[in-house]
Amino acid sequence: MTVLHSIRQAFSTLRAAIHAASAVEMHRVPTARDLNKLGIDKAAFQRIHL
Amino acid sequence: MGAFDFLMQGLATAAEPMMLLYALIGVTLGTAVGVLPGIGPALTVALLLPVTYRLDPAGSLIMFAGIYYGGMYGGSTTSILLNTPGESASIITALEGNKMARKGRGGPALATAAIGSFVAGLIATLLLAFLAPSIVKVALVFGPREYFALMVLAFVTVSAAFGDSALRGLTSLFLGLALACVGIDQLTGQARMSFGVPELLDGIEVTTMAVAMFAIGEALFIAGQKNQQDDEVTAVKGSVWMSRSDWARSWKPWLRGTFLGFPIGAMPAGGAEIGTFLSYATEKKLSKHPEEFGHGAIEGVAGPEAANNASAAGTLVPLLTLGLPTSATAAIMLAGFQQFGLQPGPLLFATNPTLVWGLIASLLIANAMLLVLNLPLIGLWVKLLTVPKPWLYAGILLFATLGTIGANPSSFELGMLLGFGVLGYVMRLFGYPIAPIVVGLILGPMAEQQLRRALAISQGDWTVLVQSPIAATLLGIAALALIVPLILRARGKGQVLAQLGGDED
Amino acid sequence: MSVNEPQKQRRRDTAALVIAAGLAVVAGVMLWDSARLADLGGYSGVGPASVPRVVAYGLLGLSVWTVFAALKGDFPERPEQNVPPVLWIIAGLAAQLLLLHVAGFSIATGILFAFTARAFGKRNLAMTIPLGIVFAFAVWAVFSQLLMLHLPAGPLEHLIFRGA
Repeated sequence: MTVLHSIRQAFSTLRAAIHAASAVEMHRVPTARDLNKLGIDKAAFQRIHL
Repeated sequence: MGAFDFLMQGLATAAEPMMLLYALIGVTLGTAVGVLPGIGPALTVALLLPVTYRLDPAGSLIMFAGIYYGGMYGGSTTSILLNTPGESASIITALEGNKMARKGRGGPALATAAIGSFVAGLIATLLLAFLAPSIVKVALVFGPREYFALMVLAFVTVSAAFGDSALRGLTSLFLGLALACVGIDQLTGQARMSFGVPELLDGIEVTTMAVAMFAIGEALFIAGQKNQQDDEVTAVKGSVWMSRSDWARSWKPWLRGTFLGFPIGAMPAGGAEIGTFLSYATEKKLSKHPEEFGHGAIEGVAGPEAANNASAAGTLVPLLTLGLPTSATAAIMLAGFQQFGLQPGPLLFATNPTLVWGLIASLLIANAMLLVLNLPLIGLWVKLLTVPKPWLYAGILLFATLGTIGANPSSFELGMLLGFGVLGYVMRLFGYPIAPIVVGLILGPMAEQQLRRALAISQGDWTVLVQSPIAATLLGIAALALIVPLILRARGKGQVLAQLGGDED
Repeated sequence: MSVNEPQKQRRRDTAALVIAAGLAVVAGVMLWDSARLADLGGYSGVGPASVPRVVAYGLLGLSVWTVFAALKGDFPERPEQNVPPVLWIIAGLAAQLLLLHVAGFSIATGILFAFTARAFGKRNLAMTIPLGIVFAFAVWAVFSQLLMLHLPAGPLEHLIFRGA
């Protein structure tokens, strides 16, 4: 079960990274959900001038 | 001969004085555009295409590759000192890097970014050199149907699978495919979608489209943004050198970043950003000092910077071995090859090994040049950051139109530039991704040709497309990559909607 | 079209409906154009008209999908836009396009330069237009005289480089 769990974790992290990447490419702040998953603080992210 | 011998021969080519000069110009320009927010490597290569038209093919391609690598280096400088990423691939660097700079640790941040980029570039370029021959060997048996399947896969992954919205990604792709139909049909010579306008018979220039999308669309979008902050440069204080503990904390993130970034660059996922996000998440999870993240953790600079350079090299794997661009910059580089009548792919390795291996070897040299350009000379680049926005964008538009006028001094071409620029602006406004339309325009005609060739061989039997195991597998993956995210999104929609209220700012 | 405050009610997205209509028009034009092509399918049954048709049907499908997304309000919020700067840049590009062959590269591009700077906050056109023309002329001299790029010459270029 733990193997399956970690695979699912890896995939959801990948998906979050993909969503966040496509958001920033369009000068938008990624959703809080994706940023959370990636361990990024949303407030800190918004301080970056996109 | 093994990859090693080829690489040595390539180094001999790349070490010729002229080639070294091209590489130096490339990496210098690349660093400059990386440092300047608003222009990226894709735009720079597109602008240079008309200018390099009469230059040496090998030299020009070496220069383009240098720009690509250099852009990845330069972007980090802006992120760290200005909190404004020079490239979208160095956004993550701003997160920890700017915090470090504000604490007076800007020097070590810049150093770990530059050295990490060097380590990643070195390993990833060697991986490219040693992987390429085996991929080429497999690809040599590819016929039209395999290539068609490969392109379909690229279409799907660039537009639908990895984007935020399959609808907008596919729309962008299909607009690109529609534009690709304009002009004379390559097989029968009939004019398509040209409506009697002679200028349209040659089809739509990839460079015009790319310059419009990346320079004009972007400038319009930035100009229209409300609340533009004034950027202030954080001065580099204290030692530029990394302490022993900085080194100890950096080397593992460099390696992990490299091995995350390289495969992601090689996947048709469209861009180097994904690897940087993944690297940041990984480093934060593995770090012994997770509490430092958000307050200037050096791992958060080292990992993502290595990842973005590694993915630049990764992008070159499918581009050189299969002729398949996986990002906007790679798509423009493909246009660069085509300008010289070269088609990257397995055949090019056989017909023009000097050029291919010279190019790969020059990346190693470019990488070393970049380390020198970006560490001791960092002060020069910081000066560039002080160019005020009005002059910067006025200059960008001047050179953007210069490239188009130089290639074809007609008002019609400029009109297309303006039209596509406005299209790029509207697409940005509504959240349509830009890469699919460019990839669609470049790969569209190639995919059509391969499809028609495959069907001509089979005398119109469509099942031939799935009769070869390779083609069938590729098409299968493409279908899965299209359908699975749609299902996941439909299932996840409930949760997303529930969150939306709180999410919006 | 500002959607800045959080809103629960998703209303119809008119702009997205316009996009859907635009896609349908493009698809229509492609179908109309491919209909008049002689379809020389030959052996394969796939001729010059086939791919445009497939793309057109794809665009039609996407247009319908866009309508649904627009009605559900699925489009991401749009960043608020300042219209005048955008129009200044478009005006600059249009001016360059119209003036290029009349006034030559330097003057036409100088105006583009000044209008773009205007869009980003340098409002004094009396200063920026001459500056832009001088800069554009320097660029013209380098690229047309040294790199042999064909850049249209106008009165200004003829005045200084007699031969051009």
